[in-house]
Amino acid sequence: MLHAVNLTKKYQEHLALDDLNLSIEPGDIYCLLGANGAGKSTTINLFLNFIAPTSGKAVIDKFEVTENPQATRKLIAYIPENLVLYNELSGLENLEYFVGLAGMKYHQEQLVGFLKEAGLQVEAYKKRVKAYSKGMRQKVGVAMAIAKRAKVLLLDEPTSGLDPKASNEFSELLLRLSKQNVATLMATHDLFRAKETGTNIGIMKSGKLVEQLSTEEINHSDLEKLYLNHMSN
Amino acid sequence: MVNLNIRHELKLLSRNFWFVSLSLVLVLLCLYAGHNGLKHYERRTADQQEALAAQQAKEQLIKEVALTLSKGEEHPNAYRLSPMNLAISTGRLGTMPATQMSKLAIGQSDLYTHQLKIALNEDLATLSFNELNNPVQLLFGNFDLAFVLTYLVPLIIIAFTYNLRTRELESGRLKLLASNPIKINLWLLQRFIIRYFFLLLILTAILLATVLIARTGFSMQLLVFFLLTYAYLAFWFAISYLANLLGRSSARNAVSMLSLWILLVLVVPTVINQAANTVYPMPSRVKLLNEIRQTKKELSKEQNKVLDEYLRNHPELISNKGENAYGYWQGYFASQELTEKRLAPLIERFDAQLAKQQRWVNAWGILSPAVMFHDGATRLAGTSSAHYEQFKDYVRSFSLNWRAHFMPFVFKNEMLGLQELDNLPEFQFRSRSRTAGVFMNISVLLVFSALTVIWGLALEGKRQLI
Repeated sequence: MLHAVNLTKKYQEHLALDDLNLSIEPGDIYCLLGANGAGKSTTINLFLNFIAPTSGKAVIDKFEVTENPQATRKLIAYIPENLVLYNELSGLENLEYFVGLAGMKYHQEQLVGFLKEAGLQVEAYKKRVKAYSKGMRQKVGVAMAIAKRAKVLLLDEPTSGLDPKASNEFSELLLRLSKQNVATLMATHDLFRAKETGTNIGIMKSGKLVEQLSTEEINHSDLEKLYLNHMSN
Repeated sequence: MVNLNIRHELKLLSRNFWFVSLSLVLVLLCLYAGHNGLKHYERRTADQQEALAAQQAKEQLIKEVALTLSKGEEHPNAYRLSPMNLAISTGRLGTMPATQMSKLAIGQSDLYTHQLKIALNEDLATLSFNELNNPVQLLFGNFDLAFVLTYLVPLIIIAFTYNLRTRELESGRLKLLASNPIKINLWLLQRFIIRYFFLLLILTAILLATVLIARTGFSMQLLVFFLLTYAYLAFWFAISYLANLLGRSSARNAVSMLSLWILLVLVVPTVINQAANTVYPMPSRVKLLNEIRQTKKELSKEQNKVLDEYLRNHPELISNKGENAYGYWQGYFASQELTEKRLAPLIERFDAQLAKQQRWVNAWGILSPAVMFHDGATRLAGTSSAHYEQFKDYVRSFSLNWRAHFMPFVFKNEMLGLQELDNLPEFQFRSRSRTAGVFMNISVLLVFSALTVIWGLALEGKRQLI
């Protein structure tokens, strides 16, 4: 579903992403770990076609993103670290607008259903998002993914700054989407959440993918040791 | 996506405190400007009516004198029927009536005179009209609707559009938006077009209210005025669209847009005017007046000789009462014609230079949308410099008629009777319609807007927009 083939991004002399190769199949939750500047967000931006690769290609469902940006964006849902919505609008109105941009049209009841599925409290639907917590905004983001019927979920540190309960709720939502065969690529600093939620983990350092493993192969403490080991080398 | 964006923008704008507040301020400003225009129109019309009433009263008195004398009776004011009195003291009042549209654009009507007494002793060269006016001076000065539209509406457009993209970029929302299958420059263009039509609707409602308050009435000129306004708004929206696509921060966009506003509305018109003065310097007005005085002085010393020469050129004016029939005034008028002939090259140079300057300003005015808009508005309102030039030509032409009509009476020293009074030339100014020229201004503004938008669209793929 999601493939990086020799994907490289260079900014003048700085190599932001170095020959990345990875594959994420439907139902997989691939967690990219790494320090700031390791190339996690660059990878996501390349899949979103926000930046052009220097070499290699990013492929989503057989479409190369640079050649078919519109087709690939129809398949994608993206949730950044801070999901900034329109403060003047309610959660429901924000959902209606963003889903509308994706070319989807729903009745109010259906939109309410998506918000409910994403776990947003009923009383918040028609409240302006100005009053929303970060966790509530992330839930609207998940509702967008559900409504868009996205096949691919690109998440850029979505749980950063969330309290443990909200973070746990978010993980449960991801697992639910995974069961619906959504392929997820999540950049995160949260080792615990990566182990708990992910199916695969990749550790990045200085633009290189230095380690790839299945979450079933490793326990929490070994993952932490492995990560710290890579970071200290 | 259009319907979606329309509903979205409507929600955003209606819930935006500043947009609602500034719209209300705009309503108040326009209504106040309309009220000012109405007052100016009423004052100008009242002044003209007062002057015309005084003139009519004077003429009525003269007719009563003529009626008394026609009955063979005597009248103590019989002298009023002398050609000197009629041609000089009574004269004719040349007026340029205010149009209904002048309530919307006062233009030059408070700089130029729109009523003049035309008498036989007036020097055509020194009719009290101004020289070329600084376009900035023309734009400033009156708080009328044209002022609000020229100056304040672009600022309101800047306030509501300068950060349409950069705000999304800075907040990080642009990535969320761009993760959908949309083209950012097209999505942005849609938002601009929607906001343009919102403002256009609001402004149309305000303008209609102002038109009703100012009692302007509906006309072709009003319709073209609306089109001109829409084209002017389109220009500022297009510029802001491009600035949004090129800019990386809202602060920088705001500064760029305000700088552009200063450049296009204030600096360019001033530079055009200054350049006109440099390229086509005007002969000295003082020198012209000195020349007139000097020539008159010289000719007055040789008045008899001048009169002889004049009568040789105009044998039809020779009186059968012999040489004693001619006095001061006959000599004066004879020298007046000679003065004009001698000064003609100087005056023509003055007029030609002024015309060149005006042509320069008109040609380069294309560089400033504010000049294009204001010029169009005053053309429609009948208060443009072209209208006053036309009025000046009318006055000059009528002065010549007036003189030609009276000269036989003056030289033959004949009193005028009732019949002659009825046959006196009448001054009637008919303003030429300049609406057609305004379409050129509209076209230029629209072409600039279209080119700017095309430039913006061409940036897709060539510039990092996200």
